[in-house]
Parts: sequence; C-alpha cells; structure tokens
Amino acid sequence: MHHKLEVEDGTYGLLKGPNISKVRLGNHEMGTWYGTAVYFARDHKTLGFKYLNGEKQSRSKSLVNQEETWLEKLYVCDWCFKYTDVEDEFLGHHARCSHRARQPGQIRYLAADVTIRRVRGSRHKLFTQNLCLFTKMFLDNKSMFFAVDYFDFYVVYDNLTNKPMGFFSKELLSTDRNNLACILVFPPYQRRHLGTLLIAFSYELSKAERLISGPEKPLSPFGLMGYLKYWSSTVARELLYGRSCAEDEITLNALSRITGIRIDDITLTLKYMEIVKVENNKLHVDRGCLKNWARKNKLSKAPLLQKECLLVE
Amino acid sequence: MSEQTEVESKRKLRSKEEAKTIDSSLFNFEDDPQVIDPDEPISCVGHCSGEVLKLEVEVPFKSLVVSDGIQEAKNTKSGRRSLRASTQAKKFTSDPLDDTLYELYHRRMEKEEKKMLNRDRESFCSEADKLKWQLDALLQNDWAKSLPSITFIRDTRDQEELQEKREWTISSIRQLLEKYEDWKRREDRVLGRVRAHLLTPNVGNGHGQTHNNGIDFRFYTESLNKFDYIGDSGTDSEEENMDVEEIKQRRKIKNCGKFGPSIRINLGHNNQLIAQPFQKTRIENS
Ligand SMILES: [Zn+2]
Repeated sequence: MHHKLEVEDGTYGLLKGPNISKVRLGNHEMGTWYGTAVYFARDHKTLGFKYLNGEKQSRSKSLVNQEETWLEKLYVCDWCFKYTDVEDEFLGHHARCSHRARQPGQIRYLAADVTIRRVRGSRHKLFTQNLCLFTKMFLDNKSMFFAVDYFDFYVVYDNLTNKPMGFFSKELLSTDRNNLACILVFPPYQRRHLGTLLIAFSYELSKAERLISGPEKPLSPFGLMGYLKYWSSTVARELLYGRSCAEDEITLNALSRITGIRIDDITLTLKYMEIVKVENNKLHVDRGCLKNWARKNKLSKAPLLQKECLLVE
Repeated sequence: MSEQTEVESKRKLRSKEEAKTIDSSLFNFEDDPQVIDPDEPISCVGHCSGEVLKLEVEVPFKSLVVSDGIQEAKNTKSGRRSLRASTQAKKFTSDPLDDTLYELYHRRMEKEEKKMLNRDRESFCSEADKLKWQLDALLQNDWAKSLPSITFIRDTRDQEELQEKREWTISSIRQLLEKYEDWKRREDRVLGRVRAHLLTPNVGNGHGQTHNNGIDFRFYTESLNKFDYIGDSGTDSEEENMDVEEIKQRRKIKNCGKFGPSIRINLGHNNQLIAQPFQKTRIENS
C-alpha cells in the first residue's frame, strides 16, 4: 500500500533529496538515490536506535557539507542489513555476522548460480525490517519499514558468496491480490537480469495458486521499466512461439489467461510495443511490426526462468 | 453519421473533458477510449496499415540513469590502517551490533506503522459497508431515486438507461463485495498464522503436527487453499545441501506427515475411491 501518512515530522520517510551521502554495503560503497528519514531520530542526525538507547550524536550540522546531509556514511552489513554509523562497529559485526553461515527462510528456487528464498516477515522480523530500511535509499515509493508481519520477502542469493543480491516483497493481505509490493536489485548487482528473474518468479508463484495477478501500483520508474521488459518479452514470445502463433485471432482475455498477466497490464504492453493497429474500427496485431520489435529488442527464445528449478508447489 | 464511424470516433476521440466532469465516487459505465474490451477479437495479420495504438504518455526511460558510482570500499588507505581495522574488529568479544540494540526503536516504529495499517483497514471496511448499503438501496422498489447518487446517469428520464445501469451497478457491487469477503477470509487465516509465528519465532514446525490417532481428515477438502498451509515452517537447514529433486521428495514426505497421505481404495468394478489432502474426495473409474 502506498502511504503518505505523518508519523514523525510531516512526511513519513519521504524527503526531497538524498540525506545520506554514501552507503557502504559490505565491501561496496555507493551514493544513495532517495532520502530517508526512518533511520534517524527527531534530531535528524542520530540513528533512531542509538538515540533511544541513550546515545546522542554530538557532531553539529555545520560539520556536514550540505544542509540536506544528515549523515556522511552509513555502514550496512551485506549479509543481514544491520546498520550503524561507526566503521569499527560495522567491521566487528561483519566479521562475525550469523547470516554468513546460514541464510534465513526456505528455498523456493534453486538454480546453479542463484537461489531464491522465501523469508517471512513475521519470523525474521529484524532481518526484513533492516532490508526495508536499506531499500528506501534506492526506491522512492517504499513506505512500510517496520510492520513486516504481513509480508513475505523473496530474496535472491548468489550461490558462490551466499550474499543477498535483491528481493521483492509480497503483501499477504493485499486487497487486490497483488503478487508483488516492491522490488529492488541492490546497486552492485544490477544489470545481471535479476530483476527479470524476480518478476518472472513472482508470476510463477501466482500461477501455482491459479491466479492472474500483477504488481502493486503505482510502480516506481525503475519498476515500470523492469515490468515493461518482462511483459513485452512474455507477450512477444507467446505471439511468436506460443499457442497463439498460428491463431488468426486473439483476445486480451486469452492472452491474460495464458501469460498470467493482468488485462490492464497487457493493454499497456501492447501500446508500448506499438504492434496493435485500428483499421475499419477493428483491432489488428501487425505481425510484421511484431517481428521488427523482436529483432530490435533482441528477443531470445531462452526462458526467463528455469521451471525445473522451481520449488513453489 | 453512419453507425460505424460513430463508434470509431468514440474509440478515437471521446473527449477527455467530459470524462473529467464525472464525479469519481460514482460508478461510471461511460466508454473509456483507452480501454479495449477483453473479449474483443483482435485479428492477427501479416501487415496492417491502420492507426497504431500508442501509450498516452511516453515512458521516461531515457531520463533513468543507473548510478555507476559504485566503488570497492576501503576500510583504510594504507596497509597499516587496514591492520588497525582488523584489530578493531577483534577487539569486540561479542557482536557490536547485537539484535537487542535495535529492539526498542524498531518496536516503537512498528507500533506507529501498525496504526497506519489499521486506519487503511478501517477505511477498506467502511468502503465495503457503503457498498452493502448501496446494494440494498438498488434492490428496493424506489431504486430509481437512489441510482443517480450511486452511478453516473446521462439522462434520469431515460428508463432504458436507468434499467441497464441498475443491472451493471448491481453486478459491479456484487463483484467488489466478493473481493472484500475473500480478503476477510484471508485476513482471518493470516492473522491466526502470524500470531502463531510470533509465539514461536524462528522455529520451524511451530504447528501442524500430526495427531497420534490415525489420519486427521481436516485437510481432505478442496475448500482449503493448500498454499496457506504448505511450506509454512521457518528456516530449514536440512535442505541446505540438497538438490531440487531431493528437496521436492523431502517436502512431499513432510507434507504427507502433516496433512495425511493419498488414499486409494478399490471399490470393485474398476472403481477407486481417491482421497488426497486439499482435494475433493472422489470416485474414479479406471
Ligand atoms: Zn550482518
């Protein structure tokens, strides 16, 4: 759900721009994309948990370069997402993090290179809360960080390092039966097609439940980009190589049933691909345009996900 | 104007102005030119020279630049300082970021967020109450009086329009209420399970143990959704070094223990009684 409710100071979690200059995730260091108030106490400089534990950040605001900067560097464990503003604490924790040897949750997809695990918020509260807090620095429309009981998290792990590389959350009580609430591939692991894998996986979960489903709206710009990529290649494969390839006629309903994608999302996709034309008040799929689209976008026949690796039943 | 061109212009250029003036709290059955009827046949042709259906707004992909500023983090600039860093790490005898440190703050924030969730939940429920009340009004004899406050009507003297829109509205409301009831059912189930988790956090098999006296037939019905029950245990360390097939086999055996086995009983004349968890018990002729 998309909340814009006040909790502490006017906007919940929402800020105009990034307020943490740099974040260190394990051994990677990067800038942040969006501001986040939820890590901090009311003084806008002490981490909330330290403030309540009686610690108060003494550094004055003049120490930081810009007005908007609340913290120069946040240290985040890349196994469990615990956070601190003190390097030594981070290093001391990172060396003995309990998630290093054992990942939370149950395996739901097991391929040669990656594993997707389902981690229930109600069982792994601190881990999933910290994951949500980290995500806010890279997603603008995230608005639930601590009330994780009613969410499942599907986390994709690298099999070589056993480190999490990205995830999506799924609301258990979604009023629209959405199959995804928010999705993020962590910046060091982008451009590995993990976003497409996670999206494809979210549809497999729904198909196993015999549901036609889709993501919560509105999508973030990056979310929309990832989804249009998934939807358009799924629709194109179906029309070119699937059951519909020899049909003279299709309907949105049929396409939706075959692909598990919602009708509204298919409509959006067909318009985005620009392969449907109106002539004599009748709708037509122009196969010539479709083939051009496939060539231009280097559509491959290789599956987006290996079905034999699924453990969702 | 021929009928065909009239329909065509409707698809193309129904003025957006008009759509805007309709109160968004009303049911609206006016044609939306952007929507394609899900059952309208779309013919697949080799080539078509008609007008392309495009997005109304352009997707702002070009403005999206993935940040490239990811660097390897260095604890320190020189070897000496990195030595210091590793001694720093050792100086802690226990985890300097122990779970308990975060407890107070996270619990407090969780409480705040749950208040927001409850407000959402309440507004969803009162929305459903309003729908029930509207449905009630439409089933009364004087329904024509209430309809215009529920659904957009072009001409309140047009009996045909009123009749048609009454039916459409009733069926829309029933669908929405069905969605609400489905959500209520899921809520009861999820709330119960989450409470069970909270009582036994981080432990697998918190519930669902088999009973000692034979098979528990609770699960032998198709009215339960198996996805609400299976794979509900927490972290399963036994599966860590298994391959996909081994995990499948293991879970099958585990679920069999939890929910009961598949049962086949020969009834003679090639008839078999088949009972399986999460399925309707049936008789098959082989
Ligand atoms: Zn850690």
